[in-house]
Amino acid sequence: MLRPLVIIGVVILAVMSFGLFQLKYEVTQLEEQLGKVRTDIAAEEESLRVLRAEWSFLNRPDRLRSLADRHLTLAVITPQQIRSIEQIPKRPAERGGTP
Amino acid sequence: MSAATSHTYDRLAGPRERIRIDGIAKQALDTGRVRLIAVAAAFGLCFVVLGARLVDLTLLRAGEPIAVAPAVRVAPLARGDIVDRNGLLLATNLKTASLYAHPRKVLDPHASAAAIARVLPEIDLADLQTKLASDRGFVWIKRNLTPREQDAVNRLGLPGVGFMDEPRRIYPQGRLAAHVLGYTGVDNHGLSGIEKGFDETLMEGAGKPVQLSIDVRVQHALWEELQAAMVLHRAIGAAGVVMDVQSGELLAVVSLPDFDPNQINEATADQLFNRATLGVYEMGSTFKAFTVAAALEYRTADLDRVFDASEPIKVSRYTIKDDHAKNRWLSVPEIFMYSSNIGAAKMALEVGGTRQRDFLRRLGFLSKAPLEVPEVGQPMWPQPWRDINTMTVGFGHGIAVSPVQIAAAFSPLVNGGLMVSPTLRKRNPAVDPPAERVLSSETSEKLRRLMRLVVEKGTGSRGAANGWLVGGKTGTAEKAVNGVYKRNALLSSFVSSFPMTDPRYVVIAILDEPKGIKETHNFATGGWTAAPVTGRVIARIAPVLAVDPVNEKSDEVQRSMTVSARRGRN
Repeated sequence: MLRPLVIIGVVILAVMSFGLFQLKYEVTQLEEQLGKVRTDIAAEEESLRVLRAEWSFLNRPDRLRSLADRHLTLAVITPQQIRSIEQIPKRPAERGGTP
Repeated sequence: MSAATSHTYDRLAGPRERIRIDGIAKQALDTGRVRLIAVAAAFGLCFVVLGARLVDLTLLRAGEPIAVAPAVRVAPLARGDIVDRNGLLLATNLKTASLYAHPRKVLDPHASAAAIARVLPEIDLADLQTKLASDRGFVWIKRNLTPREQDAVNRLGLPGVGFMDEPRRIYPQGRLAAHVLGYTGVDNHGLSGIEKGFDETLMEGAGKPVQLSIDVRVQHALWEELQAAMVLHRAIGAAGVVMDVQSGELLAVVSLPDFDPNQINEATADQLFNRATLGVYEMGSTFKAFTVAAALEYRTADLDRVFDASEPIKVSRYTIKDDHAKNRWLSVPEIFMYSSNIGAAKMALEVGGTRQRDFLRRLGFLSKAPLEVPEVGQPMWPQPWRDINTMTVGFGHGIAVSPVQIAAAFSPLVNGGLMVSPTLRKRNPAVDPPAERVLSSETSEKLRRLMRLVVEKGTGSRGAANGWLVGGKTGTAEKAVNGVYKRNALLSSFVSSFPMTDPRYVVIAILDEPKGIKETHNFATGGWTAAPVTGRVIARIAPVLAVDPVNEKSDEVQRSMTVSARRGRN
């Protein structure tokens, strides 16, 4: 009467402790992963900040101006170069109303 | 196996072989057994419950999402960002390494100090040696090293020194907009400018950045032109403002000389002083625009009214005279165009001191400008306000205001009569800004024509930017030093707006003590020094701000801008 109960109990105990430790290790592993992901996110955020600061730094108007002076032949737009859409004549084909 | 089974069987089947115990001993044994069973049952129940729960969690509910407490986020050390109106970063926090030492662990304080001082030249050697030789547990050597410095110190391989990550405020745009942004202290709290004005919001961390009304492109154009003019005319300072007349947004605020907020320790008091918002100045003739507006608004004069400007006014010990006297009667447009002090004084007197003061109050001149930075200048005005003060205020003397206030007060003069409060934060374009009517639209319309006249034919002709229909008013004030006006210390200014058919922006340039040069025939007045600055600034920023150019020669524009500038009697 008692012997099978003991055996069953021992088996259940073994299974349960195995399950418990398995679970514990899984959780530990997941936590490690989570910690690593969090560190990675923080590092990525930090490098994003650095890149944004650098983007702003590289977009300094005086720097862009000196680069433009060196590499481009552009000047400030004059009012004569600006026309509104109404002032642009239509293409001959469109004037007749048929494409 | 079989033996064990039979043995069990035998044991169970052979009660006759059992030893019989009677009496007290048997009773004790029974009690013990019952207790043992009870305890075992209790423990067994506990294990069954635990086991059931374990099975439940691991096998039955596996894969089900588990509700956990939201991960506790470590409060971000980083201070919030500041961006311009187009989202370009103006201030942010970066991690930098700070160098510290554990003096007790340093092996050779003198050699170590010498080695560190060699790679960090700005460090005081003697001071560092005492620090390292001391018996303290922890000392800072240098805060916020650059990556290159960190690398150099690392290469020394010294024991007892180390690095700690510390956040540091970085201003990628350098000295551009330095006065608006302000700066922070070692503890990362704002000490001036927007950094102080929005310190609480910024300290909440790197959430939504604080977006300013400043446009870096406009700011740079104004900064560059003012800087050039300051050098050209050997001025001791300069200030400039670009403001949206519909919303009150300040697109550019420049004060020169300026400083680099990344190297705040090197800035002098003069560089830190914000001339555009904190400085208050007697603006001189630009104030005539307000005098004319008041006269038109209170109907004490109309555009065809003429005033006798043939001789100077003498009031007790003061004499009011014109710089370029015409010595004849002048009409209102002529007074404005030739900037006649006599005419403006007489016009102001007709408006009267009470109404003049009331008018200036509505334009915001009798209180601090409602700005988001702590550096806001307290305007100064005459107390008591006598007739002589009414006259001098009429041409801009005896009242000192900040350049930002001038910009704000000019907007109702050109935008149809609505006073909007200036702001350094970007407004939501979908929401109309709060505005107060201080002028009729007719008065505003007349002022627009008069300001155009000044640039077309008057003292402000050098402020023109062809195609953008600029209008404006010059101002040249002698600076009062210790209560005495100095003839050679001028404050030259030009207030302009464009395009005058439907003004969008006010542009102000002020030069502090400019000197006349050969190219300006030795004139240092607003028309010769400040007007060209605003003209060039407008030509540069108008295309960027998508303002439609105006054909200045077209009949329509000519008609809308005409003023019957009839000549007054001789």
